Amino acid sequence: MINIQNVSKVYRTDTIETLALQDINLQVAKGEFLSIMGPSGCGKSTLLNIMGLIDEPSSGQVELDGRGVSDYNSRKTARFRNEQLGFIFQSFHLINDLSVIDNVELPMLYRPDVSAKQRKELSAEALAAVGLANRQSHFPSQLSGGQRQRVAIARAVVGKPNIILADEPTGNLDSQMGDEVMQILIDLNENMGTTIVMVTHDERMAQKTHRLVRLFDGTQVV
Amino acid sequence: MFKNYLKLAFKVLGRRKFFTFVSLFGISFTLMVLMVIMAFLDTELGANAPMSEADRMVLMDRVEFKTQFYDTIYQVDSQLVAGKMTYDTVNFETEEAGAMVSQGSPGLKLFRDHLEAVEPYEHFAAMFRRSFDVFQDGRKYSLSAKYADADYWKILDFNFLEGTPFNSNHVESATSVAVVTDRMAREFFGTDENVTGRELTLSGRTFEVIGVVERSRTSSVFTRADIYLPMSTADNQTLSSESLQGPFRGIFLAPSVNDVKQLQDNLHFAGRNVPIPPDMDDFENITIKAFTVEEKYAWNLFFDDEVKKSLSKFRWILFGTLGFFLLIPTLNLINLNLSRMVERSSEISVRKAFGADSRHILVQFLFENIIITLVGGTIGFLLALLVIYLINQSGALPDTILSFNWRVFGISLIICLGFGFLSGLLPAYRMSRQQVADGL
Ligand SMILES: Nc1ncnc2c1ncn2[C@@H]1O[C@H](COP(=O)(O)OP(=O)(O)O)[C@@H](O)[C@H]1O
Ligand SMILES: [Mg+2]
Repeated sequence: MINIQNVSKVYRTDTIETLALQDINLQVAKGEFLSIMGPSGCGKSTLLNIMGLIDEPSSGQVELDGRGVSDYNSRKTARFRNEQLGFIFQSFHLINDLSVIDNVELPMLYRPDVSAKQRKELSAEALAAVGLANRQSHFPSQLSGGQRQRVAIARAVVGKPNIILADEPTGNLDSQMGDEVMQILIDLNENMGTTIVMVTHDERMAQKTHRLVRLFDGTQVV
Repeated sequence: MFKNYLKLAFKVLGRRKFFTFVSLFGISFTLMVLMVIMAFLDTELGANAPMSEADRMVLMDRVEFKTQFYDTIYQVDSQLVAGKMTYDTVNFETEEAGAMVSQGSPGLKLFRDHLEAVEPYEHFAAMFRRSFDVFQDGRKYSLSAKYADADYWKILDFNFLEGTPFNSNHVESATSVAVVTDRMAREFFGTDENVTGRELTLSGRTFEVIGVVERSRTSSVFTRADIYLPMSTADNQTLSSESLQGPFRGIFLAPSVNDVKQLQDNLHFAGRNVPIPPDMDDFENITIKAFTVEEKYAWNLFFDDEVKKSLSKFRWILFGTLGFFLLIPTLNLINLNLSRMVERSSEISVRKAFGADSRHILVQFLFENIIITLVGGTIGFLLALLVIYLINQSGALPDTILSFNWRVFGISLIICLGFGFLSGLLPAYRMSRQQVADGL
């Protein structure tokens, strides 16, 4: 499903060069739930972003579903992100000026064949699935951290993507909320067969996944 | 999709109050100024009653008699040929050394004998203006009267509040009838209703009012007057003068807009071929000026020998001012937009991560900016109505009544949209190019 070959990523600023990833090779099978661990700054987010086609590797190949990527800014790549990928970020990245339901329907806005009515139905469904059916017209600022992350999950799954990329989805949550969020991801993986790659700091969470990859200073150690 | 953008646009406006205030203030003030200028131009030059056919009209109220004095300058080459100096005249040129000019408005004879025969036109009317002091109920009124041919009413579509214009029968038989404006009726008769049939005496001659018209909104001397009288009721001396100069003006209505140029050319040609009358044989040539409505307006501002020169000055100044008035706030808004959009780079990245491409982002931000501009435009529109009302009330423009019609509204709307588009395009383009990972 995801095939990362010899990927390196160098960040260049005027003064320094940071080697964020060094020669990474990683395959994720369809339906697999993979977790990535490692100390802060070791390149976990960078790797996830590269898998999600929102960052370009400095060298190496990324193949998703058997297809390589040539132009990261093309409409085709945008379409692919829209249809195949769902992101969950540590700091939620909800749009504060939009209501919960409007946030959730955001990916559907970029599908020309989905009507406004369908969008609302699908978004309501996704919200119900994360237990927030009665929070549709709230705004993100009116929700707790756990609720916000569930909204973000609803947004990530509303388009029924094949791959979910979650960057420390429980990192900003207390353990009970973290467990709830984790359970939603596990259900998604088991019931829908969604491939999930999750970055986490939490050994306990990582134990619940199929496989664990450890990064250290930009290289893969396990 | 646009509904979402719309919701978001208003949310963003509401959240960023200071930014919104500054933007809206700039936009609405700019558009207010533009709309007032447009309303002014439309009133003066637009196709509004009584000049609905303004673009078919040719106005003639200028004749110039001129004699030019020249100095001739010779350029001579000399050379020695076989021991003798020879001279070769290579070139000579004449240089204007001075001119004797007599210029002013034409006499009736110039129209009747020379210009009325020129083609092509549908209607022609000669006119002249005279002022009267009238005493009524112990008060003195200064009235501006316009004597005109019957066809005057076929060229200018005055709005008759009651009664009718005078016709060719009235003019042929010199019937003492008059058309008055609503303002004059109010001031003179104390009412502008049921004024037809009432009488007033001008220099010992009593006229019966047969029509009341809405006062002309433009400052054009071709339409402006308090009272309109048949040409033939004027004094004989003025009417029978044999002079080519006098107090008259003429207005031609060309069959179509496309005939205007031809008519002007033919009038100018006919003017040049008018024989110089014996009492003016000091002069060598005659030039007349036959203007379009816009040319006449421009020429009254600059008085260039060449009418075209006045016209292009007028247009340059006009478009320059309008452009300047738009440019400064546009740059300002671009600047504001850039800083505002930078704050939304995380939103842009999120949208892109979930499948928006650059085009979606561009459209979204352009749309938002156009919405702001339209809100500003609406405020500007209301302010413009207020300013126009105040200008009309104050009498700052004595002969012009500004009005805001659908045409001005339409053009303002287009300017408004263009303004929103231009000021939003560059910032929106910049933001749409943002790399996804940069905002996360
Ligand atoms: N946009 C960037 N510009 C420069 N350096 C960056 C950028 N993003 C990440 N880095 C650097 O790359 C390294 C890996 O970062 P990241 O993938 O965010 O680590 P992690 O998610 O494992 O904490 C870090 O040293 C970080 O400072
Ligand atoms: Mg990280």
